[in-house]
Amino acid sequence: MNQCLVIAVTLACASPSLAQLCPGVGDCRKPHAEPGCVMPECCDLVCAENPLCCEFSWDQACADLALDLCEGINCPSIGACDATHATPGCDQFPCCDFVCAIDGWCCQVTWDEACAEEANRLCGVGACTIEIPMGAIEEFEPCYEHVNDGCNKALFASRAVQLGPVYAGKFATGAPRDTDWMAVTGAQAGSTLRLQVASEFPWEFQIVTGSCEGPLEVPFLAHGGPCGEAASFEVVVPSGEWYAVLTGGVETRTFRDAFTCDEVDPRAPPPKEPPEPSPYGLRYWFQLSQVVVADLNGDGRVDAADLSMLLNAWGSNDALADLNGNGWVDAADLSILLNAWTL
Amino acid sequence: MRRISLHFSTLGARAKSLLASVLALTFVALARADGPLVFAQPVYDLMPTGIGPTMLRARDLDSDGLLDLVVPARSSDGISLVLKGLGDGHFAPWQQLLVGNFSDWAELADFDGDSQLDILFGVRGDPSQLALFKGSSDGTFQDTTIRVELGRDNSGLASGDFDGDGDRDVAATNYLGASVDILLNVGDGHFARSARLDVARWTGAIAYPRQVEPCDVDGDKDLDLLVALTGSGRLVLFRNDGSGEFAKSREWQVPQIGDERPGFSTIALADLDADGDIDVLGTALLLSTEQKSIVFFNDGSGEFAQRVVLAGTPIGYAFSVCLGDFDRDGDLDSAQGAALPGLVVPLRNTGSSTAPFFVADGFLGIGQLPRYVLAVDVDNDCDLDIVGCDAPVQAVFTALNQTPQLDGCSPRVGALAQDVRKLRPQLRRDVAAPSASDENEDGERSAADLALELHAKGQR
Repeated sequence: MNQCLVIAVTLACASPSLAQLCPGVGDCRKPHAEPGCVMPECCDLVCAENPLCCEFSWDQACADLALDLCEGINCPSIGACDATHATPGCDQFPCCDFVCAIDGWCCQVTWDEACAEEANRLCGVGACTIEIPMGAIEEFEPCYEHVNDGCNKALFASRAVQLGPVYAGKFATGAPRDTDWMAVTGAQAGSTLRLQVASEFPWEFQIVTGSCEGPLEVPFLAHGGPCGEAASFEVVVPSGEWYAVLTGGVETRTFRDAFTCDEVDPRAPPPKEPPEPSPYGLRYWFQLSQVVVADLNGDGRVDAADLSMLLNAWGSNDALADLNGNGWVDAADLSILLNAWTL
Repeated sequence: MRRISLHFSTLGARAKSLLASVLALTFVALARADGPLVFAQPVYDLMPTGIGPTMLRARDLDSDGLLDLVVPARSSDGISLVLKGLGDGHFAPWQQLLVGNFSDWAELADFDGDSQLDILFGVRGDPSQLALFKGSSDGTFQDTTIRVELGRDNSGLASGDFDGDGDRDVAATNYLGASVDILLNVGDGHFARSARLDVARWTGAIAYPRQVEPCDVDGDKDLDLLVALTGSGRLVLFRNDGSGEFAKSREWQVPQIGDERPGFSTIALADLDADGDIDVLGTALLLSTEQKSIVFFNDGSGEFAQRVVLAGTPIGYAFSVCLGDFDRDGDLDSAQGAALPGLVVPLRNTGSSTAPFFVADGFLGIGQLPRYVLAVDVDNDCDLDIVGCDAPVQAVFTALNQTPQLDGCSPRVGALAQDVRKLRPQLRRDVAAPSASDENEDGERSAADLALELHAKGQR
């Protein structure tokens, strides 16, 4: 066999096709020395147009082509979704795609702490529905309305709620995003309330004290959801003017996009191209109730069941039954329980 | 209601006439000892093409007795500048520092403990970073390559010893992240983030924390932090417990003026009522009336419930502010920059020592958008001049003080006048009038949106 032909055939076999060179390393939208870039689909598109981008280096012309051809293509990219990295996007398509839908920064700028937190908290957590408890009092605020947005409106407005009943409502993003402000009646300053929240979206619950003009503070902030069992927290009632505020968000950021209202605003007909549906449901319920001293099982009563729990913990340091906090479950705790007995 | 799209070229004949006559009065008027503040027409130093200055720090860096400038900037090459003061109001190119991206803020202090001034730039971009440049005794700066990652889009920095260990720590606003990072210095100019403080998580609007300033608001001998939220129009206080731990935020709203909630972009701190504590002066950008100033009076414990509205720039859109005693009469006057048209207005304090009252004596015509103004003595004649920067026009300007000083100091006079708009006409056309879309996503188009849009001018 002709030696030259052998060499040529060998080279041809060894030389990968351009498609095989994708993905490479480096951000598709920025020039870098190596050929190819991290997003397979984008890399393919650019190299089909300009093979030099996959043969020699990803220069400014390649980066410019990527900006033209790859609009809307962000995932997958390089870097683990659950860890921060300087490049946008991450390596798991569904997770990357989902996080970028609710937080555009993650695919446009960098995969920062908030992106990693969102990936950790939400990737793999599918949409779900919650059961609104029977008898829950509805918010009756369509999600395109802002009738109880507290200090976010020129004329302050909140929803009056009482201790005990379950209240249900909806959250949606938009401009502005929905924030539901509740004025709680019947709670004594310094007493402890139990807050229960369940929702179809990641929620954040804040206690806001003071007036809109100021000073205004947020002494309590909690997060949870979506779905699963209702989250339960204890909240000490602040003195003075205060409100409970429920909206959407995770620990690292509040939600402003993607949670599209599913009701039609008659003043703003739906666009011809409807927006992407919300990745999660929009409904929530919550309940605020007075914490009863010695109600060990949290059923709102102090009765034989609680007595049984205390006796079972007798002599131990079980914090639940250690009602006076002296480090031991003893006669003093029994006395507190008997004094709080529900008649 | 005045249209948001107001531009210098669209000013009515009456406004132009008013502007011209007041300018003339200002520059020509024979000053009296108790009379108006008088400044020479500003002189300009154009930056290298493509470099838009965003903020200024003034210090004599080379020990020649003249103030020099550190100038963070927006440039596609990621360059910020150091300018050498010439003592006549002009500044000459000195050093170009490659910080890597846009910078809207710099802090000038000894960060690495070698007794030399260093520059710490807040570098915007992906991601935002702190960039430390080490100073030497000849006034030059070298890149240390120390970079510390910040949150989403840094806008402002503040430095001071937050934890009482003797070195300079840093607070950095995350403009798009609605938070403030606390970065403690380990002693050699390396920083570790100790906290990320949320601002106004409850708001429907995007908060956009633009500026952070350190000061002891409650007299407990540690540095607290005051933050201006441009998106939600609020002043935020984070109290320091003395160890560098900051309490949750306490917020006050910018008061409504007439039917409008003003845009709130910049603050300056000083004791404005001579009661021994630090008060806050902020600009109030209004769409429908002349601009105003807002004083948040401190009651001594760090409470800012008392808010008073004072005069601001009579035309334009208020954007920058500084404080200084321009006539050395013992109280603090102000200079405020406004956009569209670009001008700086010296505001004379005619109130009592405990109750400031500002009067606008005239205008100083500036190019487009004075992003930052500073009251410093650049010509060593013992009075405070006004130095500022205009990012869209890519210039630093100086207006020399010619006000007769009440304590006998003699101001130097005789600066040359230039019209920067003639120097860079193409840049003027590049800057579109604000459209004021709903930038803060609160569902309304308002002064806050215009303030946000002005902040963004000169961005890619």
